[in-house]
Amino acid sequence: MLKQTPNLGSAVNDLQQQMTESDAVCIVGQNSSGVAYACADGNVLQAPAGIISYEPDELMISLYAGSTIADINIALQTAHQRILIPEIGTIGGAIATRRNGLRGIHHQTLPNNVLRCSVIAADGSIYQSGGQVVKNVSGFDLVKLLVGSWGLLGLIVEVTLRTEPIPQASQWLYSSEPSAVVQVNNLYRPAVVTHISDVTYVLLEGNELDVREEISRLNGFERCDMPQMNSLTAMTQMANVSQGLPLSIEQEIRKQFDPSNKLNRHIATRRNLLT
Amino acid sequence: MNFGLTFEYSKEMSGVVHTNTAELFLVGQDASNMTGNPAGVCYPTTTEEVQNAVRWARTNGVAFIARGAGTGLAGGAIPTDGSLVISLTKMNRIRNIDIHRRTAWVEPGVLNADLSRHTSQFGLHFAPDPSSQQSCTIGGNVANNSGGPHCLSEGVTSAHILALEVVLPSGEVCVFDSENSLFDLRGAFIGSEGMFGIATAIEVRLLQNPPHVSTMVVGFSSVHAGAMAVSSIISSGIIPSALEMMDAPITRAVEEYVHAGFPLDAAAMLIVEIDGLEHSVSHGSREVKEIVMRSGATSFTVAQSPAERALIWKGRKTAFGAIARIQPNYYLHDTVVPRKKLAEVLSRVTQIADEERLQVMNVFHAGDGNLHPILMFDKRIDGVMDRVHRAGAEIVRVSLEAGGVLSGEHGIGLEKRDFMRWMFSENDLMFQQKLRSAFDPDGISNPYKVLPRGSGCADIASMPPGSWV
Repeated sequence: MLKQTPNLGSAVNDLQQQMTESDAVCIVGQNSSGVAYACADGNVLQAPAGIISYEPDELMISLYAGSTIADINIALQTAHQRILIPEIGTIGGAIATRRNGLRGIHHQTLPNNVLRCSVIAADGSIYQSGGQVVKNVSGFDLVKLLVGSWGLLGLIVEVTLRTEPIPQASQWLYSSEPSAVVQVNNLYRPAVVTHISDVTYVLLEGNELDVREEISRLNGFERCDMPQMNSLTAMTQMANVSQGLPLSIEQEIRKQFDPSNKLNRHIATRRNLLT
Repeated sequence: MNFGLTFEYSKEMSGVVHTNTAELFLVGQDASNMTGNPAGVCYPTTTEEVQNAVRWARTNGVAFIARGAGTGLAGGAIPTDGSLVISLTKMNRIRNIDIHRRTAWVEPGVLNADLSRHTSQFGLHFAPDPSSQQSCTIGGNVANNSGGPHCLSEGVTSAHILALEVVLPSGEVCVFDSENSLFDLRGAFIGSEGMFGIATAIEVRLLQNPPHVSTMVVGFSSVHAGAMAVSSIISSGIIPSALEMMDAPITRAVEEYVHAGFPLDAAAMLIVEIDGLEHSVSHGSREVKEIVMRSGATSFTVAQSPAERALIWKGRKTAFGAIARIQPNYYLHDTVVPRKKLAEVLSRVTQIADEERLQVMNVFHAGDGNLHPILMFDKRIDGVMDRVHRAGAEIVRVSLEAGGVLSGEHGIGLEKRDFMRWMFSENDLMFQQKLRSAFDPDGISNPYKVLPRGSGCADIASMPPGSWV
C-alpha cells in the first residue's frame, strides 16, 4: 500500500550523492523489462516509492518514481480513477521503458499523460521538466524525451501523472472472422483495437448503454478478458536500433546529458550510444 | 549585422531570396507586439529547397527562421536582425491521406482549418483547433505544440503527430517517428519553436467526427460561480470535449455582431460541449445541467442545430476580433493554473488590471485551467505600454505562485523568455540548452528564443528591437 510521503528529501539527497560518487550506475525499478540482468558493473540506484500528493479533482497524482503501478491504481481507485499503464513494475520503469501496453499502442498513453518529471542527472544534480497542470508548453519538452530514455538521461525520481475517471462500462471482445477488421474500423473510436495471430481484439469503453449497443452491432465477436501479450518486450516497445541521423542526434543527446558515460552502460552499448 | 548582400552571390539563392522592404517588413512581424529586421525571405516549395536555404545560411554564418502564417503571439516567429526567413506558406500540399489508418502526410504550410475541411469528406478531422485555425499552419502548430478548445479531451498537437520529416540545422534531412530512434525525437521536436530545425512534412493522426454533439451555453451571476462550476464538472468524472469561459465584457462585445444568443445579463458564461456516442452525450449533458444548476447557473441553453452550434463557436473563436470595437490594441496573455485556483487567479487578474488602469477581458480554456486575459489599450497613449507590460508580468507571477506554468499553448518565444527563470532553475534550463545543442550545436535555427540569456546559450545574432523582456 502506497503511503502519503510528501517529503523523502533525504532519500533523494542520498541518491544524488551516490550518483555523484559512482563511476558507473545501473538504474533499475523492479527490473520488469529484464534488461538490468545485463548490468554487470555499476552502483544500482532505485527511486524511492510513495505518494507526494493526490488531487482527484485535478485528475493528477504526484509520486516518487519507485511506486509500483499496482499500488498507484489501488490509491486511485479510492476516487474511481485510473492510469492506463500495464500493472507491471514501477512508474519510473514504465516511463523509462515507454511501457504503454495495449492501450498505448494507439493513444501514446505514456507520453501524453506524464506531466512532469524530476530527474537526478549523471552529475548528481537535479533537473525538472513539465508542470503540475494539464496543459503546458513552457520550454523544451524534456518529459517527452525521458519517456523511453531507458535510464540514459538520468534517474527519474518524481513524476506527476494525469489520471482519468474509470468508465462506466468496459468490455473486451475478440473475433477471428475475416470481417472483424472492417467491423472494428467502423466503430466510433474504440478504446483499443489490436490484432494478435489473426485474431482481432477490441476494447469498448464508456457509457453502459453505448457499449451494449456497440456490442450488439458486432457480428461474430465473443466477450473475453484482456488478451495476454506474448512477452514483456512487446509491451515495452524498445524501438529498433537507430541508424543514420536519428542515431547521431541520440548520441549527441546522450553525450550532453551523460558526458562521462556513467548511466546504464549495458543499454547504451546495445544501442550504439556510448560516446 | 546585415548579410543581405551575400544572397546574390550564391548560386542556389540568387533570385530565390527576396529583399524588398515591403516583404521584409511583413515577415519581420507576427501576431505579437514585436518586430524584427530580417535580411531576406525565401519561399521554398520542396524539402530540397528548404535544405538549400538552410545550407546557404549555415555556410554564410547567417541565422535562419522558419515561418508559417505568423499568427504566433509570443514572438517566436520574430526574426533576429540580418537573418534569413524561410517562409513555408508555399509548401501547402496534403501529400496523402490514409483513410483506413486515419492518418495523413501534410506539408507545414497547410492551414489547420483547411486540413479538417478537406478530410471532412471522409468523416475525419484534425483535433487541435486554435482560435487562429482559419489562418495558422500545421507547421506552426507543430512548432508551438498548439492547443485549442477541443484539446481538453483530445490532447494538444503532440498527441496528434505521428512522424516528422525535418531539415536539421546541419542541412541534412531525417524522419522522426516512433520506430527509428530510442529517444522520442518526434516528441522532443514538437513545441521546440523552430529551434531544432524545420519540419518539412508532418504525419498527422485524424479523428473520426463524433456522431453526436451537445453544445451548451451556461450563464452565471459571477466569474467565481462559473469557475467553481468548471471544477465541479471535471471532478464529477465528466471530461467534456470543450469547456470554455467568457466573461461579461467579451460576451457583450461578441454578441453585438455574432448574435449567437449569448446571455448578456450574465457575469460569466461557459460553453460546454460533449461529443461521442448517443448515450454518453445525453447522459453527460444531463449531468452537466444538474451540476451547473447546483453551482448557481442563471441561464442554460443547448444548441438545437449544427448551425446554432457553429454560431456559438464562431462567437468564441472570433472573440479577439470583437476587441477592436472597444479599444484599438490588445495584449493577449496565456498562462495555466490548477483548475481549483481559477476563481482566485481571475480575481487577481482583475485587480492587477485595475491597478494599472487597463481594461481586461477573459475568454479562455477553463477546463484546462488555461487563462487568456486580454489587456486592452490604445498604444497612442503615452506610457501605456509600460503599464501593459507590468500588468502582464504580474499576471505571469500570480499564475506561477498559484502552482501554474508560463504558457499553455502560445509558447515562450521572446515574450516569456526571460520569465523562464521564474519557473525553472538554472540547472533545469541548462538541460534544456543541452537538448537544443544536440539538435543545433551552432545555434543558428531561430536563435535567441525560449532560453533566457546566460543559460549556456551560444546562439548567434542579436535581439530584435521591440522585444520588451
